[in-house]
Amino acid sequence: MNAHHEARETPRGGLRSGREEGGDVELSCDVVVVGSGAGGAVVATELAESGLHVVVLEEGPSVSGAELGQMRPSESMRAVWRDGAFTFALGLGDSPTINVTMGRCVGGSSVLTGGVCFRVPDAVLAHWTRVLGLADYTPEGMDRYFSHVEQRIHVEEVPASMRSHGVELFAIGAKKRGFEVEPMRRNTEGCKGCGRCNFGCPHGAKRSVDLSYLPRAVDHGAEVLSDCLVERIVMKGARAAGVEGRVLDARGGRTHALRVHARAVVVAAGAWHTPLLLRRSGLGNPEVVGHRLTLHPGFRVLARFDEPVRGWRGALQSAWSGAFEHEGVTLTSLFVPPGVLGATMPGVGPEHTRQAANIDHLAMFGGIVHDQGGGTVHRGLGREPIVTYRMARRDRASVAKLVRTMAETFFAAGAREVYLPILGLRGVDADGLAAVPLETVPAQRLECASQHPLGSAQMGSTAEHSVVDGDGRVWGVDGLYVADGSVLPTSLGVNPQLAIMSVATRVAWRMRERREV
Amino acid sequence: MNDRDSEREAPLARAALSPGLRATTHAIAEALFTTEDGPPPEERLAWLVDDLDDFFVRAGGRALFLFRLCVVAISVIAPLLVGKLAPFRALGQADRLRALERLERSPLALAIFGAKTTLCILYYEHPGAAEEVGFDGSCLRGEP
Repeated sequence: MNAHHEARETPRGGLRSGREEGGDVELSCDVVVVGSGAGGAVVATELAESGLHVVVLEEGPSVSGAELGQMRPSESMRAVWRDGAFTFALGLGDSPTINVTMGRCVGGSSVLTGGVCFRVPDAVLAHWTRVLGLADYTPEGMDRYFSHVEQRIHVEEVPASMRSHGVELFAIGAKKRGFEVEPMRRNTEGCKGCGRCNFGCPHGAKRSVDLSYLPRAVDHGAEVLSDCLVERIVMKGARAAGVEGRVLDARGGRTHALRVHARAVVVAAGAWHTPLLLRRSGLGNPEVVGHRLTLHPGFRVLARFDEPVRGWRGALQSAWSGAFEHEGVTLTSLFVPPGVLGATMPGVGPEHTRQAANIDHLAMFGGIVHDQGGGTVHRGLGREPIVTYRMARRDRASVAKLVRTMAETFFAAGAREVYLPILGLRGVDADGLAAVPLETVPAQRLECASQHPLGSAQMGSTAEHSVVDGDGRVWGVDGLYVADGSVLPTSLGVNPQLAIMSVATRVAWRMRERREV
Repeated sequence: MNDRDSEREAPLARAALSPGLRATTHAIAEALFTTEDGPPPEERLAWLVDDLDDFFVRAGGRALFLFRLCVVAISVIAPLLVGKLAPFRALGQADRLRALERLERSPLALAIFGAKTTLCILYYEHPGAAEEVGFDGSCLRGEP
């Protein structure tokens, strides 16, 4: 610990709320990590294991798996989802407004994912190396990071026996249409297939970073403080020297001062808040920070079958298909709780309740667009950003292809009617599908969601076109790193959890290899 | 602890929804979840509005602000779509249904979608409502 700081010595190692300090918080450490999600937890753990004193600051609360398991889905939303899931990217032009959900708790969004783990596709890495000049990001170069993370979080295939009946039906339809669905790989161990991963695993079977990484960090002396909002990066000359912020009360209100002195600062607040923190601190290339946000806009199709489906029985995400990657879309299985299903039933009153009464006959499949970007993170009036998104023309065309493919696949499996992600549109049968103008339906009537905000503080090979270099170092600032989804320079076309963790691992290992801390 | 600190540590039990917002939300929910047999039980609607209040106490002011925007849009604009100048909650049940249907098919569909999604997520967690839509209760909460 640096002697010239008057910060109080605190016991090394532990997870606690900043509120437990009972007043202003002032700490000193080797590395302070802002954010405890898939990026921050990984960096913190790797650095703590190498002997550094690490402090992790998390804005959200710490909620155990046992506590999450006793919550209804909506109780989980109000406890650990940012703004209770009222988080949006405002669609500009012919773009839908997109509900972008993310975690706000120790473990971040990794607590709320379906556990899906993909390596960055080779074609994406080829673009990063050949076009963007990130020479080390070859499949061979990244293999050791992917393998290391996969082993730590226990990535395994979902057995066919854990597929829900809805996924089985979609697989039947896919086969009839000439493509296959493949088993999903997830970070689970002992999954019981209760289908509520998005609200926190009640059995500790999903190896989210609060279970797989942070305990290791704590065992090696890291301090993890929840309820601590970082508002500014403190500079000493051209070097990052710590962070400042506030401890938050139970309602999220700012209370006591928070100050952490450090030899290095790692920002891992996610693609929504990392660019805000950099901007608020006057750091990073302002021409790039907050721009080129990608979202993987996601769409779902529901299908009603004569037979009972009870799609909630089985793994939440068990199968996927890359058969249409050449058209810019990836299909992934998913399911949602009855309340969310009910919300997607069109109409009001008797018409709505009549259709909602059939939710046990509904199957569901989803898909994401491998988008080209078009999102921007702007400073809002308060703590939260205003985010806008302008969908590229090619991506807009992919939406129609994606939705039609899923609907036709369900009809091939014998569905009676499908519910498309178009606000106010009633269920349509196979003939009716042909009449729906998917290519031209107004974008503001599209129901669209995203769980993958990426790329708002991109890495690259020049300071002119990126915020950080390939090792996560912010151009022109010593001792400041970014290690979360915001550094990914393009969207992936697949779920990004493993990619974020692997890049974060690389950032940590490179910090140590270069002896920068 | 000074007064300001006391205020910061205010208990979570403080209400998020104003009486007016509660009343309008109740009216929207009553219309939304009406079946061919009539409106849902009053006990269930009261539970829903109370739970919604707790939702926004915990989810925060920004979420409440956006929900309020949706409800205000419904309250003011939906009646106009059926030729009424009165606020939504002053309409009869038939007009409420017609107004919501028209709003859902309009360019402002996002307003009703935002309110409807939140209300549905909570409403179908009520054991009685879950049973009515064929949900067997499994996985709603994790097994101990």
